[in-house]
Amino acid sequence: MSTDHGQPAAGADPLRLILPARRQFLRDAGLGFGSLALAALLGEESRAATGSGLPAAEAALPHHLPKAKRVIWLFMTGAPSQVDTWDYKPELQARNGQPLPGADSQVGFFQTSGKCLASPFAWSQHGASGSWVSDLFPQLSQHVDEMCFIHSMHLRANNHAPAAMELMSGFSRPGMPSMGAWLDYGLGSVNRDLPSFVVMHERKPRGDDQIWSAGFLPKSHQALAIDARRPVAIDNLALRQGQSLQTQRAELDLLASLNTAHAALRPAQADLAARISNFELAYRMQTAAPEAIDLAREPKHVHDCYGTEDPQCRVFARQCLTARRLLERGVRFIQIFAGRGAEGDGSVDDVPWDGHSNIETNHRACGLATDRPAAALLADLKNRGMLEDTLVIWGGEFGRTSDSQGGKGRDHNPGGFTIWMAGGGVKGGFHYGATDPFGYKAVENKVHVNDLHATLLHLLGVDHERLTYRHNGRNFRLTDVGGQVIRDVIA
Amino acid sequence: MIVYRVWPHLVAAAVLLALYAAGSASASPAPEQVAFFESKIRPVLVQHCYSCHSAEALAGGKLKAELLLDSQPGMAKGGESGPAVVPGDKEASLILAALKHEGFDMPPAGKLPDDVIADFEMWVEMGAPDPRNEPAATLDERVIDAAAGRQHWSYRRLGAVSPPHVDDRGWARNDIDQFILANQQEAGIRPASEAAQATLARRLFFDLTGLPPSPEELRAFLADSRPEAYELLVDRLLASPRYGERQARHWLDTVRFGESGGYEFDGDRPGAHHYRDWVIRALNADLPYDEFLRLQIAGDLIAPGDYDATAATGFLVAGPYPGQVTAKTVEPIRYDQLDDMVATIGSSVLGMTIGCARCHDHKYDPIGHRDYYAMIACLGKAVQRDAELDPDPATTRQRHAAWQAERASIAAAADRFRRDELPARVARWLATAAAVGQAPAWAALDPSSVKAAKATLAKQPSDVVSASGRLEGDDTYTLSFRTHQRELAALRLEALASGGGPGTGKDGNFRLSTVKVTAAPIVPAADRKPVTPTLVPLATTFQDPGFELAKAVDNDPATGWATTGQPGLDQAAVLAFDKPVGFEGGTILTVELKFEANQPGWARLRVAATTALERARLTDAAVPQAAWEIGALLESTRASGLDDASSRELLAWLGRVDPEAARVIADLAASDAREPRPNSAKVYAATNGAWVITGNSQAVKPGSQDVFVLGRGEVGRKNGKAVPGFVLATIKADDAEQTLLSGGDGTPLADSRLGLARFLTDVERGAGPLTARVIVNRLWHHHFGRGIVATPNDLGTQGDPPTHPELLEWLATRLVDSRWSLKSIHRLIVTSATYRQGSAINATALARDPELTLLWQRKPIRLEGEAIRDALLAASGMLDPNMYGRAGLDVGAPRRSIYLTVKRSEPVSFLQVFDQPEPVQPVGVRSAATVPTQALALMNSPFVRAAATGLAKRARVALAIPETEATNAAVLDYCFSAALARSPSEPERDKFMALLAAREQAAGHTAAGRLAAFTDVCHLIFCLNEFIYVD
Repeated sequence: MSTDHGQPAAGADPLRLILPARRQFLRDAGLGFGSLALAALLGEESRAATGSGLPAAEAALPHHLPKAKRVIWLFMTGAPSQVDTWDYKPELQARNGQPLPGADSQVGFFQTSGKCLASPFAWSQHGASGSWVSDLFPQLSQHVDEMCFIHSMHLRANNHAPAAMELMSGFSRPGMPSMGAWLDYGLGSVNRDLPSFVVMHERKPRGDDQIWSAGFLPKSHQALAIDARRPVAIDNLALRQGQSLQTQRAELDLLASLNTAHAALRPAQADLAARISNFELAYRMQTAAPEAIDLAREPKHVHDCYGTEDPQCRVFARQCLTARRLLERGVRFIQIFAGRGAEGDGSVDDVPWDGHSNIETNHRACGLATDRPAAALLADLKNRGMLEDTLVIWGGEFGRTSDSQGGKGRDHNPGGFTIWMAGGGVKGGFHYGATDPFGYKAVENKVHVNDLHATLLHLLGVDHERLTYRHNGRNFRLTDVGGQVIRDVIA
Repeated sequence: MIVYRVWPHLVAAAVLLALYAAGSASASPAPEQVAFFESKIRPVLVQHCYSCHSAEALAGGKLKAELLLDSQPGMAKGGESGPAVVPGDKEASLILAALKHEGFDMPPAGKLPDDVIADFEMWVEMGAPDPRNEPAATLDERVIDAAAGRQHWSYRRLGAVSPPHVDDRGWARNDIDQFILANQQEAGIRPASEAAQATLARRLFFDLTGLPPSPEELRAFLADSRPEAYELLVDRLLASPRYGERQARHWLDTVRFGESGGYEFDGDRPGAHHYRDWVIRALNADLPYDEFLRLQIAGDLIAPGDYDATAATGFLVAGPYPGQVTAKTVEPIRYDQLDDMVATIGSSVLGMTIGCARCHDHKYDPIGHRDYYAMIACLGKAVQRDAELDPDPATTRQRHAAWQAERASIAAAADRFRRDELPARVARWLATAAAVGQAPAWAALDPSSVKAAKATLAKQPSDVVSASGRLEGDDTYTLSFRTHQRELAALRLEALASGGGPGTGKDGNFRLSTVKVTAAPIVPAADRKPVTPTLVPLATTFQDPGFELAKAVDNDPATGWATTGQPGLDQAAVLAFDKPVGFEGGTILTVELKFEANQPGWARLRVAATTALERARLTDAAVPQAAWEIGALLESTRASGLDDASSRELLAWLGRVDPEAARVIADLAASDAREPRPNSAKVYAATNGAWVITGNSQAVKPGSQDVFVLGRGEVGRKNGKAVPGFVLATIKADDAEQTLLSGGDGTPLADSRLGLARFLTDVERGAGPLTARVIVNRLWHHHFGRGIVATPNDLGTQGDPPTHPELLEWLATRLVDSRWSLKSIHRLIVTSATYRQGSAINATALARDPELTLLWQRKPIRLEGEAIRDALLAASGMLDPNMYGRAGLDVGAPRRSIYLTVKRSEPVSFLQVFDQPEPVQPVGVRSAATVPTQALALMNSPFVRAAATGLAKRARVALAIPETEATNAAVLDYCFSAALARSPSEPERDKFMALLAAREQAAGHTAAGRLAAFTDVCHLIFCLNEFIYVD
């Protein structure tokens, strides 16, 4: 594979600004976040063309009316076990320690026992839908009637980094654009002052930046990654010492006059103009971005709901609350890589849910770290009327084996796992697909990553077969050559 | 013309099946079998399979996997993966695997009930009786036609092209311009006039070296009135070491160079930069491009053990590689690695998307599935490793020769000492030393070597040996001694108290489980065989009940001698030999002390020996060994005289007691210590070897070095061994494949990887013409911002067509004719009138050629992130010109960006913001996006601020204007020159001086205030678009 200078493919043309003379400029500017500058530059012209008050990219792009306008993916890093969370299997509970029927030596990453490991957690039914949930999620279980469960997820890769890449980009190798980058490329940004694709993490998930890479798309579609460990969330937002907004304003005015004179002599070079307005955008970001992520502006009762002071879940709570503020301000796609393993049970911070040695202590700790903030986010979005067009996704990079590893743990299992979605046009209290009676492999209405992506794009108003990028002599898609929209889950 | 099919094995299988059908199955199935089929099989096929696998599906464009299940021949022939049904063979009948969800999951909506699957198994077992014997629908099978493929413009042999004759009215400077002008004239367009000299200088500096001209260099060039001043500058820049640094960055983009593994853990490759350094050196030396490629493909085979050739192969293994390999992933990971290698070779060298043929024939280009596996078969043995190599063997040889001369003189002095002085000094010592006479009770043995499996043993004064480091159970101490005694009778082992006790265990305990002594002759002879005397426990100072000394010689690792009952005291034990020990000519005595069964060992110990056991009591003091040995040596050589070996031994022992002898020995030892060793480096490179298993937490075995053809690229679908070969459409004719893989005498090359290297560069028979076209197009791309082919990684049918095909052909030929000298092509390009044009836009021309493909002006090019960073460092005067090595991940390190470490999970943010590509796939054209994070970095990053301060200071120093003096326009001029290679216009000067005045006013008129104010000015210059664009 190689990257040659890509350009929007013919199939994507209707999505683009209908200004042929700007084609070269679009290529140079790289669209997306950069296209905002274009929208600002062409402001009146494009608005007239699209007949709406929205920025041009936003108005022109969807293939059909979207049900969801934004996505927040709570990425349970390290892969939670389906049979200890949302996929209740009485057979497995009944046959603890007995041979697992259909045990497959090819499943797992290391070696497993081939013997059933019953879930150590207590299970009960919740909501009007009577959905089974383990006691890992006392708070999230209150929201099952908003959730649309897919119990038959599967993918190919069976280790964390490649699987996380597969879940995000459809390919289990680095260098391919992740879903957030595709959306930014396809739909652009809603907010003029913020990027449209944001990633939050504490310790980086295993696979690091490769997971949310823009791949061969222009770098303008790169995620903004916010590291919870750093005192400064976003690089280079702070004015240098001795600089004030007033002195900077004076400098930028001078800069604009000089850059304009320079551009005037190079009329065929459209990106020079984009660069001029980029300084204005950057100037505004200096104020807008810190405001967007300033949690001090939230009232105490909101903090309490999320649990931002609770030492068990403080980090994830702050991330969820920050995410809600960003969603409100028009950020389109947010991923939070979440979880925190138990001390001393062998779990590693970059894959917290990775319960190889003890599923009970590991998942208990990860549950405590994520349950309350995630539930608060659902409630908060609902209260604000945002849940109906915000798609919330919960899930990890694969599932875990139904047989035990080393007695109390579970190994990787990409053959069957559960994710759930809520809001954004999906059915609530709905269960789609199924694993076998032991929760081991997806058997009914299997959903591949490509299908999930096709469905998510559909909910966002995008036809997955028409969102393409020409690269290396081929029109690439997020869904490669596969993907079927799962109509059954759409409300 | 050779036509080969998509899946040759399938054709063979189909033929076999046809025979089978003709032979047995053509006899009509029995009626009960038909009934079974009709009741159990057909309905399932119709209901669950036909929608995607039938003639109807084919007609409706819904056929999947080229598989037809609506006829007997269709099932027998099967689809992409092989026959769906092989009568009687359940293993080979893929339909069963699919129904059982083993490898395929069919039907996709969910597994069918177990009894249905059982019916299908029974049906296959009974011979798959099937009355549906109508012929299968005909698929439009894709066939790669190599001969037709060779007609594609970039795969042809190189053709002779002459520049067109055009009336250039004196504009053209070389042949390139004739080609360009011909196209322009056809479109009625005139070229732009030549750019200003300063503009040209800045353009040349950046294009060739990636750095701006310094104000001094610029002034010198502008003042050079010689007519060939420009050409001289070109030569100077091509000869600059900065040239290699600049051009190497371009090449590294195309070869996905990184210094870590990516994937899990992103493990560092500390030896990976040797490849990058080699690229820089090779380009600076203008290594012929064909040789440049051959070394990267097979340098380790072409010049084994050579640092440069080995480093070059870093190319093959520069791609990502998982940090955790288990038994379940080892094989797919290996095939992914081969895919990375071949896809990279395809894109970077051949401008070809070979990777697309991994699962099936290329959809558009004439690249067969077979070609793909032929290519990776050439690479089948190549894996990554760290080679320990001497980067500069010539210097090492030189230093070693110098040392040997010195060593010889010292050895000669030692020889003289032995000959002339040794006897006298021995005599003198004998006269003064009283000891020699009666044999001592004990002589403390001086170890010649000590080592342990876990602990670290060290010699201490008084022949004591101490243990430190890993003081754990289950250790073995091994001590060796030299002696010339002939009648050794016993050893005494002393375990000396240290801290808590003689043992390293809790409360100072130990347990010596096994003692073994071996005696070997120093001077071998037929009648001198090493012996292992039986040890007889004679006495101990103390022994725990049940842990007696005898337990240390009973050959039972579970038992041993211990003294727990007497903590904190020295202990000793005597073990006698069953018969006297000692060889003529000397003996090497090896004592092995085992502390097994997870028991602790000794902290300090000493070994003594005796030849007079009858007088030796357990605790008698021991004398040093030297006197004892000198006596024995003299005694044993009394009759024969000292030979050379004995004289050396004597010198060694005398050295313990005689200062002059000690000095001679010390001189020899010091000289030995000075022996120069190669300054070896670990070089991350390719070699032939076993698959690399990383991060294994369990035993994982590498697989075979044979490469198999994989159906759909999946390791579970092996279709026979792949045979080495090439992309047939790119070689002269099919039979050239074998020629390229053979030596001059027609025998196969020792390694097909050598054939691959030849294939890529052989202009006559191989893909050399394509290789040449690809690289000259890349050079053109970097000089004009757009290649003659705008997709430099793809010169196939899906790439852009060339805008100037004849010029490309001519340049490729020139490259080959110039013995693949890249510098000669650079020189041709940058000395052309085409290159020297200004950026002026002509409205008529723009209307006729809005995409500017006819090159009638120079398009401004935005600098890459690395070049922007380097320009900031250069302008600020902070740039550290040192070459090579690893500069780390800190953006503030003053080294050129090419030396910053490329860690796949941690891109340097400043470079990433300015479009540094992911180092995972070959990149031919970088994007140049416009994002506000770029503006933020320029406005607010500490790095840019530091550069602005650097420039503000540098200007005053260069102009010798003291800090106490007010800033004047000359300082501003200098900064403009350093950053933009020009002087400010009057309005610009006025604006900047006004800003400066305001800032100085605010900062106060102090030296620090003036510096801060002028730093603001410099900072603003760096924010100008002009700073990051080259006209």
